Amino acid sequence: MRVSYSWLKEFVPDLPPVDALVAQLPMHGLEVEEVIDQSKGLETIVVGEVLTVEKHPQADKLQLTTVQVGGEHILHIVCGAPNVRVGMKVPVALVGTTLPGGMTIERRAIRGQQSEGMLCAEDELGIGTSHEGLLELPADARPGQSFVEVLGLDDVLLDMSLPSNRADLLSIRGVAREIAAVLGLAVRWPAESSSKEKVGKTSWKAAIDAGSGVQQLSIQSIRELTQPATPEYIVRRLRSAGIRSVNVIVDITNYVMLEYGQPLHAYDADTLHGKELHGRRLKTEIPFVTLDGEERILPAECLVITDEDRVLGAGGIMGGKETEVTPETRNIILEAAIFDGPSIRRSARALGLTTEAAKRFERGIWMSSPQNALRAARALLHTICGGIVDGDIVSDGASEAKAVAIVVDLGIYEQRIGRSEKMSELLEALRRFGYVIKGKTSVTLTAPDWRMDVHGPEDILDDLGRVFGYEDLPALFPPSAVIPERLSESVQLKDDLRQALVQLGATEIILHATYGQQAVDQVGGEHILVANPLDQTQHALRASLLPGIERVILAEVDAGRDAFVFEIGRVFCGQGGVDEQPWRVGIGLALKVPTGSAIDWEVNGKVRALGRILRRSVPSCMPNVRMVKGRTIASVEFDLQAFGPTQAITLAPQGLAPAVERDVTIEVEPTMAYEQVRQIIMSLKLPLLQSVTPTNLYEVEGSRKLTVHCQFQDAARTLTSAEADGMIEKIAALFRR
Amino acid sequence: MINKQEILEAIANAQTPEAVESVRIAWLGRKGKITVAFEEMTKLEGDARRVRGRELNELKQEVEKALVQRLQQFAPTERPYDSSLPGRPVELGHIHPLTTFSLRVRDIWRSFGYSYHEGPELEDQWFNFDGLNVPKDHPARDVQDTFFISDHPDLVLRTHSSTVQLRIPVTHHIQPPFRFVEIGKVYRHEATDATHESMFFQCDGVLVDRNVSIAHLVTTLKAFLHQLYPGKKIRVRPSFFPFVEPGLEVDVWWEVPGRQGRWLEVLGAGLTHPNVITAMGLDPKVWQGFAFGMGLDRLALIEYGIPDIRLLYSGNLPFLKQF
Repeated sequence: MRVSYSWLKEFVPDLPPVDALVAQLPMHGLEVEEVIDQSKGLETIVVGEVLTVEKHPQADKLQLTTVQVGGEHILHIVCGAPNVRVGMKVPVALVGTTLPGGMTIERRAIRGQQSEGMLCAEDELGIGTSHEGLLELPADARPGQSFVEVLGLDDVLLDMSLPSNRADLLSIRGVAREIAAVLGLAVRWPAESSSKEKVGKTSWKAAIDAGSGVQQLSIQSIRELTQPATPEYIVRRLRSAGIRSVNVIVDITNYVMLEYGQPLHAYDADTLHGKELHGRRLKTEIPFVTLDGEERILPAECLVITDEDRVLGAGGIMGGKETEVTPETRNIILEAAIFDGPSIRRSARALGLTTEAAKRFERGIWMSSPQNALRAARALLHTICGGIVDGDIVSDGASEAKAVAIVVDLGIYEQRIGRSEKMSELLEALRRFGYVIKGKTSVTLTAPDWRMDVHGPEDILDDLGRVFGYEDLPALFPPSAVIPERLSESVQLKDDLRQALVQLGATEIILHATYGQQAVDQVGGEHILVANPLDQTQHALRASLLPGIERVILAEVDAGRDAFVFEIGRVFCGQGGVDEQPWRVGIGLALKVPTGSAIDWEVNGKVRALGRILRRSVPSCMPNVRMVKGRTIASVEFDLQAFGPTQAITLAPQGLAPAVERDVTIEVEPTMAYEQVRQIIMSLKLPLLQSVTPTNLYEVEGSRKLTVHCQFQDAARTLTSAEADGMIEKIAALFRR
Repeated sequence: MINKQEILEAIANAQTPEAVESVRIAWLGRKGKITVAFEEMTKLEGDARRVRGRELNELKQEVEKALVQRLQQFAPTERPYDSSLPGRPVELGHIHPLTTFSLRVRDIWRSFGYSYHEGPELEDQWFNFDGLNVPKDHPARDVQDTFFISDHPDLVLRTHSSTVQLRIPVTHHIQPPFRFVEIGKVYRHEATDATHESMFFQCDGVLVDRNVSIAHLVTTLKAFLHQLYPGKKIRVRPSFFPFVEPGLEVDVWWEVPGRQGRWLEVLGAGLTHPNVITAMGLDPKVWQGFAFGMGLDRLALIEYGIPDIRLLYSGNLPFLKQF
């Protein structure tokens, strides 16, 4: 929320200077996200009076003007605005000005005519969004006067991020009270204007349907108003909160909302049917034209205000076009209500409207608020617009909250915060927040009604924490010694898998947990669907890691590169239970090898190595294999639960005579599995053959060649070359055609 | 018969290191003539064997010496060692930067005696919201922020890892005092851009004990940050989260050469709300606790100078292979 510094200072006279304030507030739970100095960059904008306007000889849409900018200075400026006319006062950007949009004004020729400055529209100055024409300044502005001064832009706005549980802070008064409370400053509220302006007794009535979600409806009738121009300070403060000036009556209701946090609505009383406003909940949806002239559908369950025979507005969100206050309006009904926050939120979402009013009702309005705001509004209206206040406020619904008394031993402050403060200071701090305090140390506290967030001692501690802060607490560790648990089997396995795969040269990827229909079809089976996906290519929770992994390696293949990647992540399967989201590891490989046993050779080599590093059995695998752009891609995934337990290391016996090693290359049928080859070799029953390991494999045109590495060993003696050669020849002979 | 002169000439006539090697194989290889002569020698008896052995050994030594000398004639003059040649490329594996950062955070907490547990990503609404003191009508539960699940109104993709504050004590039946952290994925229904992702990593921790104070919490968090960001200035300021009261945030003063320093929001924390202690099945009059949470992605981006958060989960290998 944007908060005007000068407005705050009206209520908190001792408010520190902006820089000091902005430095202090975060330490008291109030975040200032941005300090907006409205005058920044506008120092060289001055008031100019347009003296002459002539058509540009070379351009239809441009005009040549002379502008008086103080003293004897007259500038020739080319201008394209349709509303430029002699005698008007406008903002002039002098040569050398850099406008908020980044444009620097220079002396230059525009279609052959010299221009020595620029006449500005609202948006060009960064103070609004209008580009309808030049911003017309008040007639009493003096040529050459600073533009900042004329528009009162010499204020600083604090863009504050306020705690989401504090409805009362969506108002200048609320923020002023909070700042004063946390900084230990005094607040000074202006004297309440007397209610002497009331005359007689009103014949208007307010009623609500019990249990409808309209919790309170309060109205005030005011007659015979005039509508002068809205005072400049009001227009300025509305503008700084991003609210446009409409007419003096609407402006005043908005101004009171900014000050008190209570949204108000004004109806043109002469357009209303009957003399009663009624708060209720819609039973069925209806079409309705809102203030902005849009025809909308008010959803069923929407809270509305009605008169005798029709809906007047979506309560708490936006009023209706038919009963709006116009410049001709003389008699009004002011409405201030309390609507159920969740109902407002649902209806506002359904309507796609986030109005200032809705924002405040969503957070919640406290009981005393509507009538306070009505009193403030009627006093301000009476002062500015005259008129007759038609009797007092009439109201239906609850107007007083049940005050909850919280009994708290303030010794808890030292226990829970870890540092002590003087009891008198604690009590004084609570008083500044508006607590009613009974007792000395074990005290009974009653929170003010605007503090709807206070329920128990922890909330009181939080308030005190915001005053005294959490810096410089004693250094203390929690009291109990706790023996930490080991990493779970699953976490340990994930760590080990990651290390092992990286050791093998794979790159870890982390992908989104959702995918689209194509992947759903590819994976098959039941998928759990997201009810509100960001887009339809992300509508299903992944039941497999493979579609994502394949997408990543295909991108690499497209770029002409090999790939070796893995992801460790959850998949979501079964009926959507919390217990059905197992961890998996997925591995993807893209290599320039044929799809035949060569890729099995590569995949199995890596999977075996993985098992060796982990010292666990790897579940059997059946990779997806296909050929894309000259590379074979293979992907495979394993449930982490399918890995075997960790095995102890078995060391080879030491001190034996050295083994003799021989390679032999044999040719086998391409369809013959390696296991068959091994069986054939083992069928020789060579007693000295210690191990057989394939070390190379290549396939050419229907022939498959396999190099097998054999170790021969006799524990007692070193074998001769001839012995080893003899044995390897026997193996080679088995496969000779 | 072996002619020594013939061997030495062959060595002298060899014009390349490869040619020298073939001479070596012909005479001293596994089936080389000298090797074979040694094998034949073993068939002789007595003196003859001894004499022949000495002859062969002398010959072998002389040949080996000649081989080495001939090779040395090639080495230095033929080609200087090329240290500028990058060498055969070695394909390295790479750990994802967020994993590296997460493990660093996990290791610090484990070194402080915190256990490590993991909670589900698809989670009951109760663990994600109600139990954590976020009531049914809280704006955080809006469709805008949360991924809901078709046909399972009770489930969401968890929006924060604070779920473990309840999930672990309730389903693991841990008795206080206890302390643990978790690091895992969370999901937000949020359009993605350079600084926003719909999935990111959080670390959450919880401690339940008797007489827990803000001082315990702040000391713990400062000790943690001293490990993660040694020597950096830290500030603690009050803040609000529904599941803690009082709540606070911890900022670290971040300075990058050439840029203005700024406070970087790092941790949200607070004393566990009594309603949450109750939801754990414990009596808030006896047990208090504290909880803390941090988003890891933003810190990892800053740590590694990554310009766009979307790079993390895109599977962009040229990017990931830099880590």
